[in-house]
Amino acid sequence: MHPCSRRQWLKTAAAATGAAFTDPLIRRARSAPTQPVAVARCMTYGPELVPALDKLFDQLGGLGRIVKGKTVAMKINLTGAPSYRLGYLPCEDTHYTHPSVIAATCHLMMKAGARRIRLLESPWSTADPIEEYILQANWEPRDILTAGDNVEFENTNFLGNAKKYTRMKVPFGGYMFPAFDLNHSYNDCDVFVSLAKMKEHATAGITLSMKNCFGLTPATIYGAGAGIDEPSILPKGGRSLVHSGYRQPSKSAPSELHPDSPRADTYRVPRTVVDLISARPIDLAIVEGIKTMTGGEGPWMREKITGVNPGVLVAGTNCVNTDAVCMSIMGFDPMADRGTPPFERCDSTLKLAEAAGLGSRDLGKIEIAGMPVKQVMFDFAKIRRERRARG
Amino acid sequence: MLSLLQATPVRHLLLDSAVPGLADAAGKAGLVVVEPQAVPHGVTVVKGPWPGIRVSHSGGDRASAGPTGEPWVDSNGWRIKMARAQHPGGPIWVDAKPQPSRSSKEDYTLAFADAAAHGAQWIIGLDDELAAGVAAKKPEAMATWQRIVQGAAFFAIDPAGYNDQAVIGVLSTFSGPRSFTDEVLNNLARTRQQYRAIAAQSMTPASLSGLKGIIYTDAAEPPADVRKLVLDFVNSGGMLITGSAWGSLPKGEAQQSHPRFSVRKTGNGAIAIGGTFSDPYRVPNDAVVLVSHRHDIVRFFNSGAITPCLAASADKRRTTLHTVFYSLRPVEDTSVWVKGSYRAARIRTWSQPQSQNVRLEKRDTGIEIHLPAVAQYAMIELES
Repeated sequence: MHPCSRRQWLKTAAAATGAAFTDPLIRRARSAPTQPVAVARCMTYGPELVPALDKLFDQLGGLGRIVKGKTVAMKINLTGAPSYRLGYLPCEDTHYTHPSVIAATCHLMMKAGARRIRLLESPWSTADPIEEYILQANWEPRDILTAGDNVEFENTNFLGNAKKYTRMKVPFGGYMFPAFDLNHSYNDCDVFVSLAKMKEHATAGITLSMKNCFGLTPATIYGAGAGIDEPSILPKGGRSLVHSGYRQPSKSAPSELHPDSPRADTYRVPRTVVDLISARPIDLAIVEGIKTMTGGEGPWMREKITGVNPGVLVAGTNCVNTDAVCMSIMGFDPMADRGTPPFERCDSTLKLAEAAGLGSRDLGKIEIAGMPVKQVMFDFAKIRRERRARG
Repeated sequence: MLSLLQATPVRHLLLDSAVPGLADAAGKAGLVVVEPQAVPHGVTVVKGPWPGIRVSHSGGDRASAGPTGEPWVDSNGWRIKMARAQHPGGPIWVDAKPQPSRSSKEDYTLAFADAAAHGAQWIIGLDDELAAGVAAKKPEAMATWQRIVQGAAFFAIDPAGYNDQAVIGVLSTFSGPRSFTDEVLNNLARTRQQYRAIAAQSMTPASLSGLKGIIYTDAAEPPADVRKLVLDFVNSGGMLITGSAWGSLPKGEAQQSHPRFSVRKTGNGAIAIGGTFSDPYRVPNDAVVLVSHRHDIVRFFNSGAITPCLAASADKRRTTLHTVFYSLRPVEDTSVWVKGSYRAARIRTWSQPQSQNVRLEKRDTGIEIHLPAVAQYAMIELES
C-alpha cells in the first residue's frame, strides 16, 4: 500500500472536491431520493426467519412489484476463504451472508413470481463454481438451489458463462472509474439485489448493501493477478489493484479517471464502491444482521473481534437510505464524515453516494417501516469505542 | 556416542562410512548396523526434501508462496504414499536431510511428524551444527537431541491394520524418472483432498475402495486388466479423469460443461477427458472440483499449512486423523469436520502426548471437533 502524505492528501482532496462537491453535486445531494426502509427483529435463522423476511418485504410494498416475471441477480457476501473462521464459529454466523437467509429470500422471491434467480459472488481467488466453494464452508448448495425451480449460482470473479465481459458505465461520470467490465450476470438481469451482512469494515468503516458490491469486480481484470493487456483467464488473489492503485486494470477495461489521485485504500475503496453501484444500481438492498461480528469484515482483522447476535434484518429499495438506517441501528451517525466513527480513517461511502445523487443518508428524510431503530439497535459504535479504549 | 541411543526407540544405525570399531560396538549395544546401499529386506527408502514451509530465496524469513498464494510446503507425504503403493506392507524410511536454515527443534519434530502421519519413519539425521554441539555435549544441543529422542518415541506409529481413507486416487505405474504423474500427486497433496496412490502393477478392486474419482495421467495406455477395473469403477458410479493417452473410451452423453475437460456420463459414473496434459498443478485442482467437494471426508478450518491423513481400521470401528501443522508456532482456533457418524473422540498432540477426550458435535453428515492450540502434529482418534 502506498502511504498518502498530507500534502498529497490535501492536493487530492481539493481535486476530489472539485470533482465531487461542486454545485451540481451539492444539488444532487440535496435532492437525493428516499424510499421507505423496513426493519425487522429476527434473533435466529430458525422458523421465525421466513415470516420475518416476508413481513419486511410486505412493508416495502411486497416483493411481487419488484420481482414478478423478472430475472433477479442477487449478490451475496462470501468474503474470504471458506476455511477461514472467526474462532470456532461457522462463516455464516460471522461474516458470510447466512445460507438460510439466502434460501429464504429466494423462496419468497419465487413465491412472488420471480422467473429466475441467479446468486452471484466473486469468491476469493477462484473460478470454481460457487457450489464447490460453499461446500468447503460446510454448506449444502441444494438447501439454496431447491428454494425455487430456477435458482442458480454464478461465479462472477471471471468471464463465467459469457463470451465477453459487459461494460457498465457510471452515469454520473465516476469518482474513480468511468465504467467497469463485469461478468455478464450483472447486466443480464431485470432486478439487482444486494444481500449483505451487517459489519464494520477496516477500509470503508462499514460494509452493508453498498460495500457488498465491491465484489462485483472480476479479479481477472481488477485483481492482483489480472492480465496486463487482456483479462487473465483465471482470477488470482484479491483486489489489491483497486485497493492501492499500484497499477491499472487490464488495458481492455476502462482505466482510472485520475491516476494522480491518492493511492490510499481509504480514499479509493469508498469511491470505487459508489462508482460500482451507480454503474449497476441496486434495486433491492437487504442487510442481514441476525448473527454477525464486530471489529471488521472478516476473521483476518487484527482488532479484537467477536461474534454477536444483533437479531436484525433491514431492507429497502434505495441502498443509500437502507445503509443509513443500518448505520443508525449499529449506533453510528449516517451523517458522519471522515474522522468520525466509523470513518475515522476513510471517506464515507454514504456521503459520496449521496453527493452522486444515489440516495439520501439523512434519517430525517427516510421513512422507516416496521420496528423502530431504537428497539433493534445493537451498539457496534459503543463496542468499537470500548475496544479501541482498551487498545 | 552410542550411549546417546541407549533407552531410545532407535533400533537401526545407518553408517555412511566405516568408523573403526563403531559397527562392533553398535552391534553389542543391540543396534542393527545398516549400510545405506543395503537396507534390511523389505524396507524402502524414500529420499526427499526437509519438510516444512519453504523460506523465500529472496532472503529474510518470508515464506515462499505457491500458485495459490498459500505458503509452499515441502512434504514427503506424496512420496511416501507412492512408495507404499509400490511396496505395500513394507516399512518406509524417509531420508530427508536437515536444512541448516530450518533446523530448530520444531523443525526436527516436523521431520518425524511428516513421515509418521503418512505411515513412514524418518531416518534421524542431524545438521552439522547440531551434530557438533551434541558431540561436545553443549546444553542447547543436548536439549534438542532429547527432543529428537522424545520424537522418535512419540512418532513410533505403526500404520498396520489401518487403511488410508481417500476420495481421489492417482493411478500410475510410477516408473522411470520423476514424471508428470508424480507432480500431479505432489500437487494433489496440496489441495488437502484425501488421496491415494495406486500402482497399476499391483492394482486390485480393493485399491479403489471408498474412492469417488481416479486420475490417470501417464503417457502410455494402461494395461487391459487395469482398464477393466477402472471402467467397472466408473460404471458403478466413480469418475475417471484422464487424457488422450488412455486410449479408446466408451461413448457417453455429454454432461457438465468445463473449460478444460469434456465430461461424459458413463454407466452410473462419468469420464472427464482432458486431451494432452501440460500443467500438473491444474489437473489435481480441476480434479477435486470435477469429483466435487461434496465427497470431502475431512475439512479443516483455521489450520494454516497442514497435511491431514485419515485412516480407518479394517472393521471401520476406529478412525484416526493424523495432521501435520507446518507452522512452527502453535495454531489456535482450528476446527475439523470429519464425514461419518462417531460417538467419541480423543486427541493426542505433540505438546500434550497423553490422549484426551475431546467434545464432538454432529454437523450435517459428519462431526466437528474444536482443537486446542496445536504445535506441529495432532492425532485424533474417532470411535464409531
